[in-house]
Amino acid sequence: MQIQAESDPVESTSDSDPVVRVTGLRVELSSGREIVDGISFDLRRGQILCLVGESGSGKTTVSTALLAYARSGAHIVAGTVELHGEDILIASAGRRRDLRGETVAYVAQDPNSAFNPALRIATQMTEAVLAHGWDKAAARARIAEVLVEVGLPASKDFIERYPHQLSGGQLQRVGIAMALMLRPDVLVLDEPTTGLDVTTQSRVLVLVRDLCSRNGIGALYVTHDLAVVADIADRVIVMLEGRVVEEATAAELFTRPQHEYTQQLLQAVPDVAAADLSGPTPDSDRRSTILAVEGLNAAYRHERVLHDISFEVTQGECLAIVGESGSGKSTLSRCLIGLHPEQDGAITWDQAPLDPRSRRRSAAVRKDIQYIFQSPHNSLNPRRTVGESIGRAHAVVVGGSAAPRRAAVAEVLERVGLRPDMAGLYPRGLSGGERQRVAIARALVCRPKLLICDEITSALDVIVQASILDLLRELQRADGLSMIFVTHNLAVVRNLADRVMVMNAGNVVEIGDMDAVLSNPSDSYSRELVDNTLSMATLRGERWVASG
Amino acid sequence: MSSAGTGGTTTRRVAVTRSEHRGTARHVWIGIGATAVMLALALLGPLFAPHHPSDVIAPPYSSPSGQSLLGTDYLGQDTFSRILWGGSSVVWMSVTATAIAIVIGAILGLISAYIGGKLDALVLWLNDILLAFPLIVFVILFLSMLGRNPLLLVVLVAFGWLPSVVRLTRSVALEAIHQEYVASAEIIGTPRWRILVGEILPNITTPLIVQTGALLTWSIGVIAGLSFLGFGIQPPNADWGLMVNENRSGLMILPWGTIGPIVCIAAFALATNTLADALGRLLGARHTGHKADR
Repeated sequence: MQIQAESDPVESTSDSDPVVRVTGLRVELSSGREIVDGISFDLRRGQILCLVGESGSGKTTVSTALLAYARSGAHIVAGTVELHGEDILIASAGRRRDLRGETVAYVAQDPNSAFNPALRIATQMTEAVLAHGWDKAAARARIAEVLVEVGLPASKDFIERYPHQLSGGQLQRVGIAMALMLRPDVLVLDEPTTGLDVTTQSRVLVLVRDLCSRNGIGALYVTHDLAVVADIADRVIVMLEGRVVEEATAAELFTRPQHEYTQQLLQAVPDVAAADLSGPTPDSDRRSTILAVEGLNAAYRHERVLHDISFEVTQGECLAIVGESGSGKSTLSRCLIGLHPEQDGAITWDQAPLDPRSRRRSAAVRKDIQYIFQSPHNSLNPRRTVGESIGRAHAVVVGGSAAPRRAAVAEVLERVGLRPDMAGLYPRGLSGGERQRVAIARALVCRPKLLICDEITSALDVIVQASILDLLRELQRADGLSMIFVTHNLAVVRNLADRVMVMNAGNVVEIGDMDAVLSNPSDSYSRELVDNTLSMATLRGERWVASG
Repeated sequence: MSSAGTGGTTTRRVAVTRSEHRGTARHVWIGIGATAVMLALALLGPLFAPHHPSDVIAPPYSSPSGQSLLGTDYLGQDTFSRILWGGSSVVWMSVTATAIAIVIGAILGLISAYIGGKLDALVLWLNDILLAFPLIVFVILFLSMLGRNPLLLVVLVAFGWLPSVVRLTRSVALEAIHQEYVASAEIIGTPRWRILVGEILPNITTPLIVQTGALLTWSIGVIAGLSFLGFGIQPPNADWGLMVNENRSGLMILPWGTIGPIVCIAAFALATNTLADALGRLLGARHTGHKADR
C-alpha cells in the first residue's frame, strides 16, 4: 500500500474554520444509560479523522450524530454538532433534510444491506437528489460524474443494474458515489471496508483518501481496525465506553501513544510484518502425520467448490488455512469434521480413512477431532447454561456420572481462563470473548488431538482476539495439540501458525512454512494477498518514522 | 453488546429488561388469576350447585327466587345450577383438544424439520390436505358419519388444529436446526433424539406456549359453538354452549338462561387469551431481551 507523499492537509488547512465542530455530545438510551458521554472534536476540510474503538464503544453513535440521527432507543440529550457553524441538532426538520446530503453524507457499513435489492442502482442514486429538488436530467448527468470519480463505469448498462449484480467492492464504491451526489463537505464512513476482502479494501481506502484530498472533503472514518487507521488517518480519536481516551495526529498516536488503553490496543493488533512469535517450527520430518488429505473435491449441488486439495497435518503443529471469502476454506474445514458429505477424495486420520459424515465416524475419531465455530453467538445454545453446554459434550464423548463431569467442566473452564462458577451463566450474560472461550472449553473437554478453528476470532475485538490467540498458543505448547486455524486474516497467522496454506477459488495455491509464505510468497495470488494486507508496523515505518 | 462484558453492564442490562417487563408480567398474573377463577367455577361448580342439573324444580322460565338465583330454564331446571355444572365439559374438551394438537403437532413438526427429505414432504402434503377443510365443516362431517360422541369431537377438533401446530413447529425448528450449536452436537455424535429434545426443543418452547394459549382460546369458542349446534354434550346434561341453544327461545321472557352461559364462555375465552397474549409477550421479550439494549 503506497502513501501519497503530498497528502498532508492537516497543516495546510489548520487555520481555517472546521467544517464540523462537535461539542459536549451526549447520547443516552431510553433506559438512561449513557452510550456517548460528552464528546468534542473538530473536523477540517480535506482531513480524515478516524474514530477508533471496540464494539460498544459508541463510535457509530457519534458518527450518526453528525447527521442528527440516533438509532431507535437512543436519544441525543446534550451538545452541539455545528456544520459550518450551524447546529444541525436544533435545526428544523426541513433544514436538517437539506443539510443531510448537501453538507454531510453517510456511507453505510454493509453495502449488501444498505441498498434496496429491488431497485436499480440509478434509481437509488437519484432518489435523494430528486428529493433535493433536482430534475432527472441533472441527476443523470451527476451520476455519470460521481461514478467516474469513484472509478466505476458510468455506462447505461452499469447504472441499470440491480445491487445483486455488483460485487461487494463495486457496491461500496456506488455507496460512496451516492454520498457524493450533492457535493457534501463532510463524509461519514461507518466501517466501509469491514465486509470486504483485503484487495478490495486497499482499493477503497485509496479512493477515500483521493476523494478527500482532491475535493477538500472532511471525512469521519469509523473503524475498529488499527491497520486501516494507520493507512488512512490524519487525526485519530480513540473511544472507550462512550468517552474519548486519546485524540492525536496519526503520527503521534502510532509513534507515541499516551493512554494506557491505546497502548494496549496497539499491542494487541496482530501484524503480518511482525516478528515470529510462534516459536520454532516443529521438525516435521520427525513428527508423525496425523491427518492426511488427498485429492479432496467438494461440491454444493452441481457447483464444485474444492478442487483436488491435498495436504497433511503433523502431530503438534498449527496449520493455518488462509483465503478470502469464497475461497472454499470453510467448506474444507466442514469436510474435515464431517459436516459436508458432498465430497470425494481421501481423508485419513491416524492411517485410517475418515467417513465423509461425522455420524458414521467412530466414537474415538469424533473425540479426537474437535471443531470451533466462527460465531460465538450461534455456537452456544442460548437455552443452556455454560455448564450444561460443556457437560452435554462431556456426557456424549466421555460418559460417566455427574460428579466427575462437574469436576471436568470446572477444570476445563479454568483451563480457558474462565471462573468455574461461570458454569451457571447463560450465554447471553457473557461477552463475545467469553463465549468463544466457552466454545473452546466445550471442545477441550473432549480431550481432542486436533482442533479445527474456523475464523474463531473474526467476530472479536482486537484485544479479545489477542487473548484468545494467546490461549490457543498456550494450549498448543502445553498439550501438544495439533491445530488447523482457518482465517482470512494473514496478520493473525503470524502469531500462531507453523505452516500456512493459501487457498484461492477452491484450489491450494501455496503451502509452506509460515515465514517463507508470509515474507516471500512464491505464488502471485499469495503475494497479492500479503501485499494488500495492511501492516501497522510497515505503515508506521513508511509514513512517519522514515519521513522524520 | 459491549465487548468489555463487565459484570456491571450485565446487571444494568438485566435491570432495564425487568423494568420494561413489569407491565407485561402484571398482565400474566391477571391472566393466570382470571383463568384460575374460571377453572374453579367450571371444575368445582358442581360441588356448590344447589340442585341437580336435570332436576325440574319449577315451571319453565320462572323468575329468580331464593330457591333458584337466576330463575329456571325452558324445562323448569335451575339455571344457576346448570351454569355451575355446564362448565366442566367445555373445560376438559377444550383442554384435551389443545393438548392433543400441541403434543402430536410438535412431535410431527420437530421430526419433519430435523429428518427433512421425503418424510418432510409427506408431512407437509398431508398437512395441506387437512388444511383444505374448514374446521367446522370437517368436524361436523365426521361427527355426522361416525356418530355424536364428545370424545370423537375432541379428537376431531385436535386434528383440525394439527396443521397449524405442525407448520409452526416445523418453521421455528428449522431455524434452530441450522444454528451452529446443533452442528456442534452433531459433530460429537450426540444421539438424534437428544439433539431434538435437548438442543432444539428448548429453543422453540416460547412459540409453542403462545400457540397453546391461542389454541385453547379458539378451542373454547369452537367447542361451545359445536355444542350450541347440538353436536357436543347431549341433554339432559348441562353444557354452556348447549344451554344457549336450549334457552334462546325464552330470551325475551327470562334472559339469564342464555346470557349466563354466554358470559361464562366469553369470560373463559378472554381469560385464557389474556394469559396467552401476556405470556407470549413476556417470553418473547425475554428470549430476545439482550437485543432491547443494543
